[in-house]
Amino acid sequence: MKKQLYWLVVGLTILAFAAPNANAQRKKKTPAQPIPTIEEFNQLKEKVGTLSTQTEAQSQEITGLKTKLEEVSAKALEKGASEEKIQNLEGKFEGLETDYLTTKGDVDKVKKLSVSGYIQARYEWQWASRTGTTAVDPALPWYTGTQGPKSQSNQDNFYIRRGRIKFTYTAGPTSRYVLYFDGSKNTVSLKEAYAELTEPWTKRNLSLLFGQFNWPFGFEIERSSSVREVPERSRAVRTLFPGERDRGANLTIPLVDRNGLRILVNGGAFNGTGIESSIFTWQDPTRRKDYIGRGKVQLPSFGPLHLDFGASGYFGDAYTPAANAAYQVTGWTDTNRNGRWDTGEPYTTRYVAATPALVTTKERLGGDAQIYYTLPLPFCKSGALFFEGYQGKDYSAKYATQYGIVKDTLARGVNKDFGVVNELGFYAMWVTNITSKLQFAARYDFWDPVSDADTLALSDKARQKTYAGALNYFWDDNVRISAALDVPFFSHRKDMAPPLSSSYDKDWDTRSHTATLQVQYKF
Amino acid sequence: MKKISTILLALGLLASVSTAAKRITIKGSDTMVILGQRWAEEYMKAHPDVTIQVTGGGSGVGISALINGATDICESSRPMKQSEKDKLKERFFTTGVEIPVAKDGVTFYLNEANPLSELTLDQIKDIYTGKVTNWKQLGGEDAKIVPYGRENSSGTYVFVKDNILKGADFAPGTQTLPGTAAVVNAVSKDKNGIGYGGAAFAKGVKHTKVKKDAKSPGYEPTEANVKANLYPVSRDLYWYLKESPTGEVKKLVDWVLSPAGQAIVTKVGYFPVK
Repeated sequence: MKKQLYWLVVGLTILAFAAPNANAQRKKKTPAQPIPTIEEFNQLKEKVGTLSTQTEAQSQEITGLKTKLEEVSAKALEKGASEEKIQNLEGKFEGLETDYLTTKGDVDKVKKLSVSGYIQARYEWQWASRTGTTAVDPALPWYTGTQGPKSQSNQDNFYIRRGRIKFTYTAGPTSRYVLYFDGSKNTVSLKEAYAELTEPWTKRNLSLLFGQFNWPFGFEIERSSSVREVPERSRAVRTLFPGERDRGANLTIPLVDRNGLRILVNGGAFNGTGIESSIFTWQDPTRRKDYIGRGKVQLPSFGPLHLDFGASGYFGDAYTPAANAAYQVTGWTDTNRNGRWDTGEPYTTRYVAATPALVTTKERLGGDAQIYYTLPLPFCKSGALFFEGYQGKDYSAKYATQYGIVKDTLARGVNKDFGVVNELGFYAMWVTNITSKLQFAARYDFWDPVSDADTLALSDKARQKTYAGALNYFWDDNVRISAALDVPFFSHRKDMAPPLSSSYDKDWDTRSHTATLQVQYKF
Repeated sequence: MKKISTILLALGLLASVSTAAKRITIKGSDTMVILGQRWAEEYMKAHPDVTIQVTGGGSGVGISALINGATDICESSRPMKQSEKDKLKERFFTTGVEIPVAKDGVTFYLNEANPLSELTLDQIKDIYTGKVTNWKQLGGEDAKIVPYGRENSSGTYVFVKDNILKGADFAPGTQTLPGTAAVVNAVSKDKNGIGYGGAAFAKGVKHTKVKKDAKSPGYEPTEANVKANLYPVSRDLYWYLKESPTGEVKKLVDWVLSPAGQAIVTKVGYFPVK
């Protein structure tokens, strides 16, 4: 291409020079031109070279332009491809956004489910472990009671006192679902399972619980074991409300919630057998339900003081299954001190007549008060005083046996108070935060299983006073380490025939003194 | 010897307590974290022997820290719930001390290019519950609404849910962001975005005029409107303490409520409590 162009240029150049000369010659009619000299030829050659260089440059320029044109074309093609890529990416993004929203919706549902719980691992040591002595082994099938504490030969154990896990699903402001399990010692049990409905129509937010949950009685029952400053609830609550829970329905009505004053009432109907009955594991043996109610008042803070108080009532029936006539063992001599009855060891018995099934009165009345305070001190800045009292009425087989059984049936209202004794219990507890991490608690706990015992000779019922103290250390936000000591005092009536003495024998039985070390993890 | 060692022990404990009182931790609301930091800076300038540490995380995080004893002061952009007060009572035998330290108008941010400038409370509720999804339904452009919000540990989140949404859930399409600054940033870059937060955050977005209902006039979250209770979404900003303040904490609280402390409230963009 270049060569052709070169010779073309040369030819044209020659023509360009020759033609005018030829014309000039024709015009002049002059004689033939002379042959160009070498100098003229070199000049021509130089000019051709210059033209050639310029042509070369133009050729290169054309080539460059061509390359640029090719690049621009390629970019244009690329741009088309980018647009396609962008569209593809947009499509993928929309797809991801849809997936994200779907996942977020699922996560939002899961976030409505909350899981909480705690574990209490304990080391417990009773003074009875030191001496190897025992009263009566409660595991024996004919065990009926004891003249003193029910201690076993060895009470020196590591064990899980409570291993709780609670699932709460809060769908919205009008409903909630709770499922609560406990694993302790060697069993797993269902503690609570209920639905809570909150009405949206009034501003009071009335709520209804339906299922299995805490009896709405008193202060101690509703207070979680994870918060309580001493290892166990009072003797009165453990006796009158075993398991603290039952199956039923309970309505809560907040009456006042203004300027720090809160008044709340709740009440419900329950089976009455609780969740720890070995006979009635879920049924209600009596036709009538048990009715329980509580009123609670929280007063506005008065300076550094804050006062809450409440009153509770329980009105229901208890069912005692029929019993065949039998010889009951009332005591035995552990001659070899192994904590078990062995063949040949002497024991005493008494005859107990057959008894029919009975429906008797079951009642409780309770009052509670809590005083919270803060002090302008570097230590023990805050604390609380808790008071609670219980009065109960329950059937006593011993009492009924003492005075003879009047035949009764399951029919309602037939001498339901026969065999019913009065019970009395109360506690007073002081708790203080020594520092923000260290807490001290002290409790006095009184329980009299037969408060009208002055007229009775019941040698197997002991009046009990317990002094308890505990130190709690908050290791971190989740862990609390506790060291506690329980010192019970028992007093019981001598087994006497009527007429009866009103005096009591006091008996401080060290065998039941218990030291507890507990690690609690709560989340 | 016993007496001397007892006295020495008591003195040592008192010394440790007095030393500990000079370090104050403040934790909680992201809405208030800048305000808390400004207060801390100014107070520490005048009291170089006092160290104040301010962190955010949300009102819920601050209240949890107060209940666990991990902070001296909790900053919260919402009142404590009864269940939280009960937990505080269980742990520290106190219902807590509530101190309003500033006022705020919860602000709804729109992108500056959004042609709309006012919304009713019901319209805001419909946007955040997903009932309204396009600006054209509100008289704006035909564009999908992109709602931005906060995490559920935020006091502002709880305040909007309780007071605007009346307890209803936020729509699943609500973009959750960690902090008001992030919400403002997102709305400033998104023509179709809407977000909410404290009145002190305003760069790059415009504050929506909020109307109580369709017939009422719309009001911006200005100091005058908040003080006159004209702006329908105003709230107190709180400091919560476990017990009545003493020592260095009391001095700090008194200073925050003083004209000097309240002047900082105005500088940051909130409104004085009195």
